[in-house]
Amino acid sequence: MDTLSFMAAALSPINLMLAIVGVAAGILIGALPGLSATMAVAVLVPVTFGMPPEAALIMLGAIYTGAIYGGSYAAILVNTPGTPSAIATTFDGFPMAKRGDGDLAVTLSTLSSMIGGLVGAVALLTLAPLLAQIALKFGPVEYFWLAIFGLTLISALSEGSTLKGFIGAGLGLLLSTVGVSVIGADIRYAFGSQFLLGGVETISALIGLYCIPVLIDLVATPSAHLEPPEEGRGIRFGEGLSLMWRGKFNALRSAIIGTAVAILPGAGGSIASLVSYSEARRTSPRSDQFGKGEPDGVIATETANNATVGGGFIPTFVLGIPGTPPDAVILGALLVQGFRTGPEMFTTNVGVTYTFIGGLFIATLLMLPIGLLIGRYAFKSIVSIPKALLVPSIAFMTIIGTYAIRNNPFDVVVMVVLGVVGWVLSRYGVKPSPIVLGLILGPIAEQGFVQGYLMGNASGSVMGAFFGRPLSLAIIALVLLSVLFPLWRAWRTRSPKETANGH
Amino acid sequence: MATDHETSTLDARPSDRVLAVVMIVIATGAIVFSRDMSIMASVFPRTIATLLLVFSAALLIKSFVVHPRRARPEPGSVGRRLGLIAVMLVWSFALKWLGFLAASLISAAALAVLAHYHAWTPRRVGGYAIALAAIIGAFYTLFAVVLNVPLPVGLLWRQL
Amino acid sequence: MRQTRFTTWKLGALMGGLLSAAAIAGPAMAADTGSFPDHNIQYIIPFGPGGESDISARLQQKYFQDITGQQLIIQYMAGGGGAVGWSQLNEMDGDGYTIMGTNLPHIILKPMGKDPGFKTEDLKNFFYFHYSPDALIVKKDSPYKTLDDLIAAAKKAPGSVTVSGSGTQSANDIANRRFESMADVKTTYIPFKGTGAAVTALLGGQVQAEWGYTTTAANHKDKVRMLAVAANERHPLFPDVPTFKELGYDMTGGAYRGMAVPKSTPEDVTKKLSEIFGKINQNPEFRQKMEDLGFVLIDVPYDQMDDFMAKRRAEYEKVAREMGIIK
Repeated sequence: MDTLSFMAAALSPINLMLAIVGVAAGILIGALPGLSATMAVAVLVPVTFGMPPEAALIMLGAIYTGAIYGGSYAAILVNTPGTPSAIATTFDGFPMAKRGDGDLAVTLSTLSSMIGGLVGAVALLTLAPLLAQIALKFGPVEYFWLAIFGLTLISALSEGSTLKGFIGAGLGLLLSTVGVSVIGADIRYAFGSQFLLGGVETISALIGLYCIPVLIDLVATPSAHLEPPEEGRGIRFGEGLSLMWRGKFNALRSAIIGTAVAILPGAGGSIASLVSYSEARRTSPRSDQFGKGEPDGVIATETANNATVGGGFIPTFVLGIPGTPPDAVILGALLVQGFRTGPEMFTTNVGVTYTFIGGLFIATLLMLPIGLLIGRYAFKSIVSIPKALLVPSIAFMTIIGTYAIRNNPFDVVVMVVLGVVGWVLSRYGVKPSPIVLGLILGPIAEQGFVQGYLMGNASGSVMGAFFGRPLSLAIIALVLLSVLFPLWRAWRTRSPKETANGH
Repeated sequence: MATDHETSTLDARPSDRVLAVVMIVIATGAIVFSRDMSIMASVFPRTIATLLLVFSAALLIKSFVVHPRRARPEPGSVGRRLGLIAVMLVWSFALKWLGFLAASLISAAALAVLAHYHAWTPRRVGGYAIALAAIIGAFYTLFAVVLNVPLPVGLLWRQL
Repeated sequence: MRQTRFTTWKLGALMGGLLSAAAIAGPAMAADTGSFPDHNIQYIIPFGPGGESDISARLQQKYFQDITGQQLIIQYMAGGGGAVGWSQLNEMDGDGYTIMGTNLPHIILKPMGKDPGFKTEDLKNFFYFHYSPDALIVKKDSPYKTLDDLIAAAKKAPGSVTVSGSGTQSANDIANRRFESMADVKTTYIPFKGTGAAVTALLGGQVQAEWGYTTTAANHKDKVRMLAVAANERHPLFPDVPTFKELGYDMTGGAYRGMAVPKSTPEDVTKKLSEIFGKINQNPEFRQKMEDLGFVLIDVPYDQMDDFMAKRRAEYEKVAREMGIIK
């Protein structure tokens, strides 16, 4: 078949080499806190200009997928997401590391990322046009309800007080409004500062809220950061495999969630992994172990976020609309090469497209050996580096990484300030995740709401716009489910106790 | 979300009250400062600020009615923590004035001192200094030279 | 104690050594005005990667290297719809090795409202090289076959026709307002974050039309068509699409793009830059590539810049008053 022969072209020596180099480079970049997948792709785009389109695509795709996977290293070993898509990996990855299972967590992350990436690539290969059409059905109103759904996940994720979770989310939502508003072009909460004009950059807030508290607590005690592993234990591959088998439904479901979220333009790995984590926790028999180092938590998040790589390419290729931020960069690179997206990708340029997809499969498969290799060394080095070197190095990386996002020194100040604030809040019971979630979802919720309102106004009925569309009703149902389920569960666990007390 | 698996917890009433009051102030500020925005742009911030007010008020009330507890935070050296915070803040402000390299080298050295609990021997000082300089140098080269990121050069030097 | 004093000494020496090393490495190299340019030039785009400013800059990159032998290195400095970059331009080195992309109407409109951190006059533009004409775009299967169809629908039910566009007080917003006043209709303009999101809304049927540019239509040729173009002549890529002028509406405009240098850049260097980019603009290959993407090339060199800006300013001021941006 033609398809297969095109895909086999991905195995040419040049393409293979690009895939290997791309994956390795991506993993290393993604692992560093502060360097995101978007940035990794953006800085390496100029390198691809001399290359034929399929080679460029393969390299960029390999970097992208490696970076998303690499983000889990920092998340697991240092409790700081290397990329936004690894936020949810900190939930269970770091506790696993703290109790000495860091190498297992890395192995699980490698396996999960590979599986998730494969599912996403399969979806891209087989279902792209269909899924892209579905993605188009999501309008501002649907995005608004999706954002609400995302915010209700806070109640599921809040450790301890749900109220404080909502307060954190509220703070994050407010922070997201700083800067120039999309609708109305107002300058909000800038207090005359030309820096605040640019708003609070999500990634710098992310790095600050997660990394700085870790650093502050690292300095406070002389004890080692992580327990060194027992001698000669290797990477616990067998153990990892058996855990993956146990969590196979979790992995598959999370990969599907990741792909589904990625086909929606504007939603990326961070949202995908949060939704899949929440689902995994809801349906797991060990749900109270989540947040304390439950392997299924890592499996869920890492499968989902790597599935967004393949999934995100669907709207990018079929509609010419980027599915995730790195896709926007890749799309720009393609356009400069004179390479059109849209139906041409599956007709006149079909060779390039399928060669690329083949390359994506290969890069994903390569993550396993390369990842295990690098992961082993990453784990060993983090564990054995003395604190006096670890702290300045991580601090340095946060500084340079934050700066490099927008070449704006003020972002670094924001990062540190938010970090300190985040540390203080954390001691008072407000954790960073709700804040970051509010920051990410704020623009989506706001734009969805105002745009939906304008549309409703134009068609005569605002209520109709928000509550009358079948797709939004489905999402509203999800919202209600997500809000009511924990309450129902709490009621259920209380009843047997009451019955017992009654007797 | 690392769990503080505690056997002992602290009484959260005073801290919750402080938190609630601070949030109420922030939320009120958000509403006050939204006066000069257009309707479309102020809807969202005001709604969120109002919700924040409601939640914070609920927290405040809860701290009087119920007896909430919070996890005991990890004990540790206050001085070193504050030291790190100070160094990081100075570092971030110094980037523009001292330039990237200078600010980073000084701050990294300061942090190494803060994080080190054992004795300093000349060998250790030398070893750590080289290691840190190597790491900083490597990344500087990677970013400034290979990736062409315009790292801050330092306005102070330019004025000299 | 000896141990402590020794430590402090060592640390002091260490830091002193590092500081001097940094001091030598820190300051920028001396600028060389002999043969300009003699090393790479930084081209800062005040938006994120992947957008039209980025794409047109990358196209220029190749030809810049051919003409000067030096590289054009593209950096991004996104934020505030360009404001973050423009407000920091004049703090940068004025030796001619740093240039920044500028856009109209942004640099004129933004300072008219709340203070965005810069003034239009502060930006020293030296060359404007293209514009993407405003275009009213609908889906291929839209019931509106001509511009008049849309106007008729809007007249029948004022406010019911929804049009998407990128941002508020942006080129798209202005285009819509001018259109509304010229055709005497009322539509509902729905701002989105970026052209991409505006197009998505159109393709998904969330809105009935979109204010975009010829570049947008070129990008999605298979799914959309344009009702009219705000240019003086029909665009070579779209010979069937009438201009607003042909249909009786005196409307030309769009998003203009050019480059600026920090105010402190000397005149001769600025003129040199203007020449170089002028040459790039004349290159037939470059022109072809740009036109294929939907851009319309214009040439506004340094000496004609003041005139050009004054004319645009007058245009925008009128609309800005109507929109209430200037009180």
